[in-house]
Amino acid sequence: MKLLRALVVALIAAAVVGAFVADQGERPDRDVVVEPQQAAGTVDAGVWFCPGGSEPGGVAEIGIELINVGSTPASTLVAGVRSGPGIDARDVSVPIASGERELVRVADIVPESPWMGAVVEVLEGSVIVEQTAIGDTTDTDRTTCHTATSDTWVLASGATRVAEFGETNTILVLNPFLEDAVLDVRFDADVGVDSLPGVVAPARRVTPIDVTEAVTVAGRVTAVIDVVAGRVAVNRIQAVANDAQVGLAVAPGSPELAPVWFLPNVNRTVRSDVITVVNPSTTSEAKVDLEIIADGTISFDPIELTLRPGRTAVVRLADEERLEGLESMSIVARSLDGVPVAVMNESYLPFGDRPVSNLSATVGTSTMATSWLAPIEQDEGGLVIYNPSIGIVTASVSEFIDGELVHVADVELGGGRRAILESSAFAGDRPLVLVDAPSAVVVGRELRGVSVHAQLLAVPAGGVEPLG
Amino acid sequence: MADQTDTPRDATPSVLAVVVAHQPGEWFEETLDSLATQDYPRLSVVVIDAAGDPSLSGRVHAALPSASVLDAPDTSGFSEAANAVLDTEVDPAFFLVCHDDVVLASDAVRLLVVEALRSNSGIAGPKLVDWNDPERLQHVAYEVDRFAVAADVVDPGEIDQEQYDAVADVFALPSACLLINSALFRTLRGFDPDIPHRGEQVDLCWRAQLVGARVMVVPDARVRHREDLLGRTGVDDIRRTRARHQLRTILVTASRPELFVTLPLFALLTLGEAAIALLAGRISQVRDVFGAWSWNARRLGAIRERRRQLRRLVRARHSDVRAAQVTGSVRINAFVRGQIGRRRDDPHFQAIVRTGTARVSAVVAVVVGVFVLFGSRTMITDGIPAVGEFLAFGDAESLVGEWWDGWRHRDLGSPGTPRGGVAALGAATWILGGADGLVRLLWVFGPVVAGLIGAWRMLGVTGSRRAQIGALVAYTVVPLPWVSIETASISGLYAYGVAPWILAALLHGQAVSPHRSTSGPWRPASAVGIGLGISVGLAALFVPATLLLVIPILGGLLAAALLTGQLHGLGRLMVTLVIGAAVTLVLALPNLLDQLAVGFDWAPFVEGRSAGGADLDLVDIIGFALGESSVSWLTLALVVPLALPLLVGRSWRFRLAVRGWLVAMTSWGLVWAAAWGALPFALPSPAVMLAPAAAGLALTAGATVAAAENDIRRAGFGWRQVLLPVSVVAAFVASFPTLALLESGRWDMPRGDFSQTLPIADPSIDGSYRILWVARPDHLPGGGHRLDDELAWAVSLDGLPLLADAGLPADAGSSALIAETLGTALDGDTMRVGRTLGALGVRYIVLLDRIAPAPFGPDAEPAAPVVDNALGRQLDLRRVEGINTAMVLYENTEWTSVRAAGVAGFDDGRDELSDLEAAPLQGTLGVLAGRSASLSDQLPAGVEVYVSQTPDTRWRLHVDGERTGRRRAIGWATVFLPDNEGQAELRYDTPLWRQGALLIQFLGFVVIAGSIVRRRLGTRKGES
Repeated sequence: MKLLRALVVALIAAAVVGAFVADQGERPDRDVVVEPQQAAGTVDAGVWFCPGGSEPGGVAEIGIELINVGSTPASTLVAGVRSGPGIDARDVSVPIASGERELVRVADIVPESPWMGAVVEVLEGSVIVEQTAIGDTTDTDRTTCHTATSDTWVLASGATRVAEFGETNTILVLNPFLEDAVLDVRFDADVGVDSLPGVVAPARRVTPIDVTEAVTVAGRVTAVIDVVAGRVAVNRIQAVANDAQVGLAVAPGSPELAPVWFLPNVNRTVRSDVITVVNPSTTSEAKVDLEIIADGTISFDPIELTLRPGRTAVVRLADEERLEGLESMSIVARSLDGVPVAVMNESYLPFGDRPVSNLSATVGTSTMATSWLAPIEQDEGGLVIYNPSIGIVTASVSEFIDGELVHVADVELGGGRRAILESSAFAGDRPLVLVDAPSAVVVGRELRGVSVHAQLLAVPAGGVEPLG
Repeated sequence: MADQTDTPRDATPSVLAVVVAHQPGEWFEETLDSLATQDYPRLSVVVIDAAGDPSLSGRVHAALPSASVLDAPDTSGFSEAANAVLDTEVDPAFFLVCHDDVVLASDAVRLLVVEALRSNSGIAGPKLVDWNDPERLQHVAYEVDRFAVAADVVDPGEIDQEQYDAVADVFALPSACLLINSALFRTLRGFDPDIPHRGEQVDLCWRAQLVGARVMVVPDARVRHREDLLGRTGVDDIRRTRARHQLRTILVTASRPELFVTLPLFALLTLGEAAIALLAGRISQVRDVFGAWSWNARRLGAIRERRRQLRRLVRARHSDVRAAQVTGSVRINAFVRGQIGRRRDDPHFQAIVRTGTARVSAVVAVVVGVFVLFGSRTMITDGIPAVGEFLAFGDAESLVGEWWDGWRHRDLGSPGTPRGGVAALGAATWILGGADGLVRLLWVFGPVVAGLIGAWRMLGVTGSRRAQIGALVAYTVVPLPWVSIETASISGLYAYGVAPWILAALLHGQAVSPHRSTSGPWRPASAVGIGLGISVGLAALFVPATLLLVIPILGGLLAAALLTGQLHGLGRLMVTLVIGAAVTLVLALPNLLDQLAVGFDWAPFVEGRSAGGADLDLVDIIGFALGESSVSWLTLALVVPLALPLLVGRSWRFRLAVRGWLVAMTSWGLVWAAAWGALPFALPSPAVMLAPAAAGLALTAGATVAAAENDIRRAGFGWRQVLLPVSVVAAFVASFPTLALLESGRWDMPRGDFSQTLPIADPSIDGSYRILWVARPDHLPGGGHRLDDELAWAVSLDGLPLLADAGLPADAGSSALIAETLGTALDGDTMRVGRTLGALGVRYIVLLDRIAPAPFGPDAEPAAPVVDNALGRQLDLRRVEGINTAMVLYENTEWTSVRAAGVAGFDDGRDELSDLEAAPLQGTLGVLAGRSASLSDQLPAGVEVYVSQTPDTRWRLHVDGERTGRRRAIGWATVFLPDNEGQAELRYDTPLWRQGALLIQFLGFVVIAGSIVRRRLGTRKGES
């Protein structure tokens, strides 16, 4: 009995103690539903939100271009969204053949609305959706539509000196959902700060916010939008019309802040580029380095910026004398303390003595990927491929021709270096280019033609991760 | 008998023995002889011939030449016959009213008279002993309640050990032999002539006390009594006459204020007795108890007259007389004693109820009862909200109807039978006239009480009341039932209720000491198996997952058998299990057939839980800390007292403790392994799987007390004695978490539910719709399907899930479409999930963060932020703002009614659900709204009827009596094709085999319930 008792007590005690010890360990991960990270912002996105532009004859007539980047036919549903009350917009189904592009004139499905946008649902296939804007000033612009809505948006730059320079700035807020959204808009301008609290963005409507009216005579105005209720997608339309400049820049808002941003193609001679860095934080100071990614072996010290909470820094590259001799470059904006910031590059491109000039803007990208798709134009311009890693990367560049992928070039990139591929390197009239790399790179594109000058990023197609 | 010619002392009062004879048998001479041999000097005898027996006079005079015989053939019954003496001229000091089947000890009359004089009592009675076995007591006195129901103070067959031999005031005495002051008897006008027998003594004694007389028992006076009225009359009218006479006595004796209280209570008792009788199949009893009211109603005039006469005589206060009665109801007490104890004629039972611990047991039972009632006080007064698994009932007819119809309305509909308990609760609600609040209380607290009784009974075989008390107290303070209430887990409660019964059955099944010893009781395997099957089957009617409890309990017992080397009896245990399984299968037949029809599916047992682990650490598991406010580590103090029998227990106390420990450890181990995701399958709710641990602890606690009683007491002073007070303190500390729950009066259960906070439309306006619920499995009303390791989903029809929706159907029907559609939204593959869900009838999507709306219950983090984000991205779902913070509600703007009329071709071009993303269903109108297997509505001309539920050819649409054609729509739904307008009826034709199975289940339930009630009632027959 004594032996049995000892055995039983020992076994029970050992089991209990052993279980307590084992219970201190790390538990295995549980299978839980997670956000579909991969699809957001990539060619696999199921929906694209185009905050839009104006009606025909307005400041920026909107069109939607649907690009089938897959090897099979794609099917989409384009839902027009109007501003204000009026006749309901229509939905149209748009099939797209592999490798083809379809242009939808939004005014055809959104009747009698001064402002209009669209929501494109991809029912089948892989599609990139971009919106084109044709200004009444003969300038045009192009930007990729958003793949997600957000409750925070930053529009880093803009100008409202309408009387002196003909600058108008309009924020378009697309609320694609069935419930109204409420926004608080904060402005930080060179003439002071202002705000528009409690702006209602009605459900299924495009809501214009006339910054020109809200913050008058500002040479630089930054807008931060906090969505109190609901979620929206935001673009900015900046127009200029004066004796020296005529231009239109449709820039997407930044739906997120990040500590590192990449601006693919910045120019300080041919164009007049202005980089704006915003620290929307209300508490933290941001120390931001603008790292210069130049071609060749030349290296430059970064441009160091210190941004107090809620403030904006503007860098006119033409004024940076130490960059003398450097024409084109990429820029990495890196927040040294990790304080998230937003960035925008605005360019004014004069066309010699012709009465056409051009304005463009980009917010860059805070992600990198191993695979990128880039619809480009067979005019001037081309691709910029940047290797953010420290090792050498060989990127494979291919072009879709008649549904087939044709290898164009292998581009070897050293750590922290970039390469430019001119559009003339590709065979098609409107090439669709695939860039694959063994490790994550960043691909930007510049579209430049008679009436187009746009700074865009390519669209990630796989292996997406934050730029760091 | 003393010669009456002797000269008695003047002070000696005269006594007239009044023997009421009704064709007495051969024993009568013995009766007469006993009167003849009395040592009392002034006793005369009159025999009242109540039957006109011509031979009686001769028999009387042969034994008692001086006795008189009074003919009273026209009298009906004992009372009227006895009263006949009042019509004579004789005027003794006392009447000694006797039956004709008593034999008085020779000193009986003297002792009675002496005591009557000394105590100045109006009525005195002797101790009655058995005719054939004078060592056994028959009657001493009666306790009487306010309902005039008498209860013997002695138990049947009780040995006379002079335990009642003190002279005492009592409320009533048997009429077999009564010494009655003649003045009192005349004042009261004798017995009530309308109470010929059964109750006449209670009525007389009650009235006597109202006029100020004492009623006393004089146990030294012994009288043998034959008591065989039933055998002599051949008429079994005990129940009928008792009920009548009790009510009559109340009506005559109670004061007016008392009547206002007593009569309604008596009516309630009547209803309760009738309900139980109905359950037991005793229709005649129902007739008897109700007949008492009509019988008395016909005699209201006479009753008023007797009340008037009595009122003039009353000298004592009614309240004083009432104080002499027992509180409560004798009938209920007897019934409960029958339920919780053994048969009253079981000698073992009688032996143990009179040990010293019987009183302690009663005190502990009262304390436990008060504990439960006090802790549940606001639930009792405010009702039980419909939260978690405490689903709303709906109306009683629907509950029974849905059980009978064989169609589950939850999810996308499917053929299947709701749990059998649904029908039982529906029937109970119907019987109580829709008083579902009371039924809900019984539904929730019934298993708690059953569990406590089960814990009490587990160690009944040990003969140690203290061990039983230990098990009961441990099972009471273990937090499991109370956190089950807090978290609205009906499955946890039913597991708690049945676990000790399963454990006890398996212990009896193996039949090793103490459950089979040379001196203790031993039950055959078949009886144990049937008991096991009934226990498990009844619990499974409400919570099928309780079937699984057999596994950990069996596993623990087998492990204990291996560890202690007690391997004998395992074969018998297996036989027990097989028999138990067979009985269970009968009770669960419809649900079993449902399972067989689709192949076995584990999902209905686990209801949305996954094998991927849970947020429970070992301390929480061992401490049963499943609630939000649970303090688990204090419960760990239980280890100290529970270790005691392992350390000091001997013999069966040690082995019993090992069994208890291993059962508990098996249960804990399973839940712990599941929490770590180490099992290849999911388990039911932790509250269910921890019930065996609670039962194991209770068993060990009983062994602890038994060890303290037997093993520590016998050992010399040492560490063992020190261990005992330490264990007591530790047990007290371990009870803190449960005691802390007492404060709220509802075990911290939420006070409100979502019925008032969910802004949903009336389905009768736009047609029936579905609600998709997404929440953690423990928060999801009615159980759900697994969404991921943390979330589950379920779909209800036309509002919150009802009780009939509880539990996943064995046949999931087309429910996978919901999961697929939800998956497309979560994967980001669609922005129009509303269109697809809308075609499935889903109008609302509710994400629940907790089981009850704010402010009830603690705050909780959003349970499904990813799902919320995914739904928030949808373009056709409208998030409803300004609602309760415990949930997120989306309204689908693209929904189509579950049953909708559309113009012909309304779904053209939509061959699959995915087609709806581009082209949703439009232009339909909700029709045939409701939740039933038979719906009707007026249909316009030229429409087709879209029915979005799992297709089943047994659903048929008739328009003006004509059956319509049908076709498949959108790849899954049904479209009926009426030829013209008219009155439409959509009906589900339940298969006959299913209804046959339901009947078998019903009959099985009735047989079991009836046998239990019969066994507990244990009607006693045969009395004079």
